[in-house]
Amino acid sequence: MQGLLKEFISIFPGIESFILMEPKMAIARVVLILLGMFLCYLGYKHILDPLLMIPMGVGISMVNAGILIMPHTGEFGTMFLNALVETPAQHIDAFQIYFLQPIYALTFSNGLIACIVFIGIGSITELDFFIANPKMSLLLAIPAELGSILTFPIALMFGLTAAEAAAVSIIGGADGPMVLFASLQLARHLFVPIAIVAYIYLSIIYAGYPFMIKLLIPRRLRGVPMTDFKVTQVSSGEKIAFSIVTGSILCLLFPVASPLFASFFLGVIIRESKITRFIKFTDDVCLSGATLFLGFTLGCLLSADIMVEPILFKLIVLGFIALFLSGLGGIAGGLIAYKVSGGRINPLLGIAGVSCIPTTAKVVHKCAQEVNPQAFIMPYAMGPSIAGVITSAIIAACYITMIPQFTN
Amino acid sequence: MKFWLALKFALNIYIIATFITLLVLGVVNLIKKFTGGKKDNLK
Repeated sequence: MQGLLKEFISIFPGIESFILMEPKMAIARVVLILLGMFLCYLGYKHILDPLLMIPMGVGISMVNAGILIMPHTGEFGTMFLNALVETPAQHIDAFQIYFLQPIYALTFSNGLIACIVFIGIGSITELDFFIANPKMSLLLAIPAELGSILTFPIALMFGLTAAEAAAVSIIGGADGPMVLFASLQLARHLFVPIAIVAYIYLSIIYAGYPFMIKLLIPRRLRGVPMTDFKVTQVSSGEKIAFSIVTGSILCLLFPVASPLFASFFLGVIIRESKITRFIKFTDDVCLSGATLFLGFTLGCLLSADIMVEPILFKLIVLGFIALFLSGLGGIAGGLIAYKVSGGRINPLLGIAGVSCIPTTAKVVHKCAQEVNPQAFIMPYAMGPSIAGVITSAIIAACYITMIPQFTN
Repeated sequence: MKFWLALKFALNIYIIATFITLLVLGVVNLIKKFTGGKKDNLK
């Protein structure tokens, strides 16, 4: 009878792997399958960002359900991808087996996926308010980077190495592609858990920051309509000149992060050059395609063995600290700007400086509208939000360039 | 000791990043000067 049951179970390798693997791993698999379904549900209900959570949730559930004993190695594995291959020969073999291997090997390992997302983000970025009010936008973005700075020493106290601490600190910049790029440069072995923690937190921002805002900014200040500022159209020539000059200067200062700067400003220049075919390609194909495969591949990389690693808990805590401190810094910056401007700047704009374009801008606009329906601050919030992308890229570039000096 | 050293390093990065951000601000204002745009957009 037992032999018959064993034979029956062997027909279904996924169930067989459940029985044969360590109980700790089997439990982690069940938790991850359920987590994937839950993320999918939250994405479907638009509680979390559906663009990322749906593909990521599907990936997490299905990769952990589809574990089997691989015929060629005799070890547990999946038909999705193998993140452990290193040599070119292993890659060639892996291409024949794992269907996501080409995407992972050719776009994740070198940070290309982050750059494609950045081209797309650049092509949908409206620079008008930023160029019209650069001082306000950039000065609000600086305090909103507090989490990227203060998380670094805290992470070291958690026992992480300097490079790992810098990689996790960049979560404070609230910029997914930046976290992906920087973690690949600084702590390649941790890029999967760091990227997953970052993307889940970035989705939670939409629900989490309004709580912080309501808790720390008085109601009457949230409704400042900013009527003293006008949103003017800035010429395309100005925006292109800004992009090419700033991009070149930043590439000159930080060659290690130049792929990110080049990608972002290329997207902006394509938009402002009004090359319709390129705009369609960068928006519809690049951004949508890269976001889909980014979410799905990251989900497929979250296997049970990562879940049981003790460092994951540290990363979850540090990611929270980074985004919390950045939010706190943003709010402090916003309140200072409100005071200095004599009450003309809505303090909510400070939190828009925490990058995560355009989520934070949408969040602050929604919070202002709840208090005062006349406060239409979305266009103003886009200025600090864009400045946040630039400052978080600068901080990420500083970390990538200077970490070897700190280690020495 | 390690914490304070790391904090000092992180604050140095903050200062450098702030300086570069101000450089970006200078670039925007310079471009606006050349293209005839207003330096500040207050009404």
